[in-house]
Amino acid sequence: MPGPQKNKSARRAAQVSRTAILEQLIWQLETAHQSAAANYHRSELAESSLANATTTITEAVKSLALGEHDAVDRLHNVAWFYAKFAQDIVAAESTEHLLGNNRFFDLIEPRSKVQKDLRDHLDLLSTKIENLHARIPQFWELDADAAQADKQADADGHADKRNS
Amino acid sequence: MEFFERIEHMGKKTPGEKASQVLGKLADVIADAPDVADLESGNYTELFVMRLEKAKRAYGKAKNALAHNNPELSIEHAERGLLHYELAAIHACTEATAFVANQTFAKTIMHGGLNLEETIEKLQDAICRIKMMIEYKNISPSKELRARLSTVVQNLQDAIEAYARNDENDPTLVSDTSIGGLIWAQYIHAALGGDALFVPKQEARTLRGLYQLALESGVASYNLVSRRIKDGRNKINSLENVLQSAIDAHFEGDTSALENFFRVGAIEANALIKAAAKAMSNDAPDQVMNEEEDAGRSTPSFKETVGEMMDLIHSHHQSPENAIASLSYLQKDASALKRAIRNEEWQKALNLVICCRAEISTLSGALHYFSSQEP
Repeated sequence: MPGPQKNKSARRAAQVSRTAILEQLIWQLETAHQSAAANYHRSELAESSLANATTTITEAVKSLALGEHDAVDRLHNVAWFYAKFAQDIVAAESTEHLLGNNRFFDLIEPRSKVQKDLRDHLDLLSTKIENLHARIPQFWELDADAAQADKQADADGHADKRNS
Repeated sequence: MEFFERIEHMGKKTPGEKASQVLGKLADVIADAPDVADLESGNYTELFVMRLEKAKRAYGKAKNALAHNNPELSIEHAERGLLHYELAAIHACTEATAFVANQTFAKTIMHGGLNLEETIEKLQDAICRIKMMIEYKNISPSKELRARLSTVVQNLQDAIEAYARNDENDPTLVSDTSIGGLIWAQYIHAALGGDALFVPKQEARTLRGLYQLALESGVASYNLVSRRIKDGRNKINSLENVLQSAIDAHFEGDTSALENFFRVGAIEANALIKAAAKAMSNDAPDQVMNEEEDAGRSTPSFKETVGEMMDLIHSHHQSPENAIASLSYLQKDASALKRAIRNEEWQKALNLVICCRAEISTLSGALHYFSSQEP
């Protein structure tokens, strides 16, 4: 019957091997995703899932070095969840590309799209403010400008006096 | 000193001695590491190089810690360095293969009774099946369904994060979040494709009713006409509220409320199907409103636009506080500006225009976040 030390060492060896397997899978996925991004579609969700998987593997290695084996098992599962999700996305988009349709659906809005939407909304708000501005009588604005200019001239005059 | 005590003492090393020993071992393996040029081409060379570099960095840190009389820290770094080297050695002798879909990994089941790992994977599959259906059938999901789907993706992320935290105070958080995501995935799939993602009868007995309600609600709102008539849109909103209430009742264990929601949901779904059929019949052709007409008819108000911007910023900005505060000020000042114009308080109105312009300029600067950040 193997002693606890032997069991522990077997568990550690298995965990080292599983870490390597996961790291290799993530590497394969990153390579496949980079190729897809260069040729047909960049999925930000797959990218962030792979980044999360890599971060989790780094944590798993730290825990493994400290002999925290339960934490390592959990972190391996987490890394696998992220890697699997990226794998499914990359595989789905590869099929879509092979079918020749190249109509990709992003599960989360890409940053560029979010930025464009926000810019469009902001432009709309800006237009609405300028429309309201246009309703302010021009004579009033001219008077206000003149009053502002007078105030500025007064302020400048005082400053000149102080300086001289 | 007794003989056995002396033997035991000889076996025990001081932390400094142990640190020197582990550091020496790490130095040896690094010195004996093969050159990249000597590795067989086609192996995981990049991973080997990455791990070897980490081993070298760990060696440097371990040496530094020992030099600063911190043997415990030195041992920690050196042992981590040895682990990096162990991984490097595996990568060096493993043949690299190209990406193959559907690779699996033998997970460690850590919560046998709850099946957390299976539930998370099931949610991942559900999301990807919806994505494939949308792409394959060339479907353009409505804004509302896209938002629902984003929430399901967020459920998955939350479930994985909760699983990683292993929160003992709330062990059901992972399963509840995943199940909530799965029920909504069933609804979205039915609303987009008109059929079931999961056959309710094949699901766990306690969840069959929810899967069935999600399916009925989704199928009822599948008809495009449903979304083009006002009554239809109201009924869809109502059905979605009933579904969410049913999910909440399930998690709260309120079976009586749950049964009520099932009944109300079935009635509402039926009413929605009838409303769509009536609108499609010749009796009420003017009720069917083209979506394009609908979109053109209503330009979003200032408040609605601000609301949409707030939603986008909340969902996509890591620290949205400043942008949200600017938007709130902008909305407040714009309302005050309208009032000032109505009351012919021109000086006040001019000042408020200047404030609004300044807030728009601040917001414009905040949008650079989206172009400067990596996803």
